Amino acid sequence: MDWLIEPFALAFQQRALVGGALAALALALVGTWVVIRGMTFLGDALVHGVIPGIALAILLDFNVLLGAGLAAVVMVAGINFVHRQTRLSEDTGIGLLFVGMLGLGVILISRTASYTGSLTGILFGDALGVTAQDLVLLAVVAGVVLVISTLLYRTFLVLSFNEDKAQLLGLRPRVAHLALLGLITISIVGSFQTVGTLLVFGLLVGPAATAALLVKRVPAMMMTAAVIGVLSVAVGLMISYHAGTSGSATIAVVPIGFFFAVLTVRSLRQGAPAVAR
Amino acid sequence: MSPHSAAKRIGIIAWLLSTALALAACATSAEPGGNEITVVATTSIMGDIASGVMGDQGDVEVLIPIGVDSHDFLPSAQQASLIAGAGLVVANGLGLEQGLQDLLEASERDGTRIVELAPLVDPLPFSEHGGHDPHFWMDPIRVGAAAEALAAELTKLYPDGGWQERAQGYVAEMESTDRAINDLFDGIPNLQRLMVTNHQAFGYFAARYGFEVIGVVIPGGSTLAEPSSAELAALVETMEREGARVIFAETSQPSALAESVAAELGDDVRVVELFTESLGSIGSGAETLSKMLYTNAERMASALG
Repeated sequence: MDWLIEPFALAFQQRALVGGALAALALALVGTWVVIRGMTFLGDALVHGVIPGIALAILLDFNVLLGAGLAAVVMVAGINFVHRQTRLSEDTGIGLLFVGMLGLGVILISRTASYTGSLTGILFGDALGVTAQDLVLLAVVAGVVLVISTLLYRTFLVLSFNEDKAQLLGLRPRVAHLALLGLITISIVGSFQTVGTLLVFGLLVGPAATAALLVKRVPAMMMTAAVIGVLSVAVGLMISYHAGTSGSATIAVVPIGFFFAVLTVRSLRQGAPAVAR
Repeated sequence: MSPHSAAKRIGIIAWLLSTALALAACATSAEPGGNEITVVATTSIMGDIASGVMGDQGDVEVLIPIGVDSHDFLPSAQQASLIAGAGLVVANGLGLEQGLQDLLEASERDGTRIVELAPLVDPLPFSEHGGHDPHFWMDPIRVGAAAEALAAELTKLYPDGGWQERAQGYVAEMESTDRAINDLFDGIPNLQRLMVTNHQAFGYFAARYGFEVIGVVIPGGSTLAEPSSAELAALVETMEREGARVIFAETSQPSALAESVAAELGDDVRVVELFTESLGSIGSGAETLSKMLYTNAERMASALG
């Protein structure tokens, strides 16, 4: 049993576990909707699009969440603008803004002489450097995501399957869509300090996608995703300890590996892939 | 769209493109040199050595800004053209400037003269992982030797510069810094000369002043690696065993991991910032290399004494 406890004997390792678990929880809840609504590319774009906002916030010394929020707003507005003004698909708009924002972020970071929070830190996170204060922020983020997901559950549900019906029922689809984007942004920004922006995506999509393979109803999907996410963090940290690998990269890879394992087992049993809807 | 507006659009695009090209050309065209010799130094530390040897006989341009880590700095196109137009490029070598490696190699193939100072000053091997330690500037005596080597190189290119004389002045300055540092450490017994550092930057310093580096936060010789949870736990154990009470972090790197390790060990363990990869800004106490080495020694002496 030693190999289970050893990776978490020290306080900073425990904080990495708790921090990662809180991040995984928020991301799993939001990720379920991302997967169901086919917003994965947008999710990926947001994950990278917030980087210039974060960089600017660190440079000019204001709140990182605010910076990321601003960047997200710019991104969503830009995507909308392209979609409305041209005949190009939303995909193209997302792709353009994705590269533009990420490039801008790298330029901002590379222009500063004294910026010691390097790009690597933003992209890959610092799970072992999580402080007690970070944990408080993560808990708040997870709480907010949980509460809003619960409140807007019905709305999101109808929105996912029939946007017209949502309009008819007076559920304000545009507002709900924006609320979902807001939730995605908050959970990304809350979690990037632990696992980094690149790998946040793994926790956003991986557990939710696996849950979609296993269960059919949305609430069950959200809970399954949350459990898988938290377990991924624990397993990832454990493997990283024993194998001496990068903490955040291992955490990101575990849910992906798990997804393909589940898929393989299912395909072997059933012979026909089907996603729970 | 109608043929008129199509033509108009093409016209506008063509105009924009040519303006952009013109601007780019202006930005990168090198100034026609006068009698001035331009030396380009990779790090601010190389810049200090170069300035010491050049005096006012030319210009020294430094590529990597103050406070930035030399291991992961990536050059811009503007800096590439600066290198191409230089009379001599002074680099550290031995793998320090990882991000500049490709550019330097390409420039050398195109005819730029590059001198790497680290291999010329009897470099020390890296204990665990082969290759040599590039951080020679932490030893003032080797810095003096590097200045002499640079003077020799400059004499080959520009025989009438008086480089050797000026280099001797710089060597004298380094020797006096060396004596001052030894004085600072006089009161610290050998058993207490233990260091825990952020990354493997203190090999030469430790060798010169009788210190032992008992652990590092970031393994490997560069700052680009990420320590695993097990490695940090092992460091905590080592520090407890040896009774180490200070972790020496550095100005060019975030210290979150060092803080984690220090927090693990309790309230009386501190994280002290030292200058390693770069000089400091005005007012930091590390504006020149000799000041930087002395300031580091002061901070170490007060933390360990």
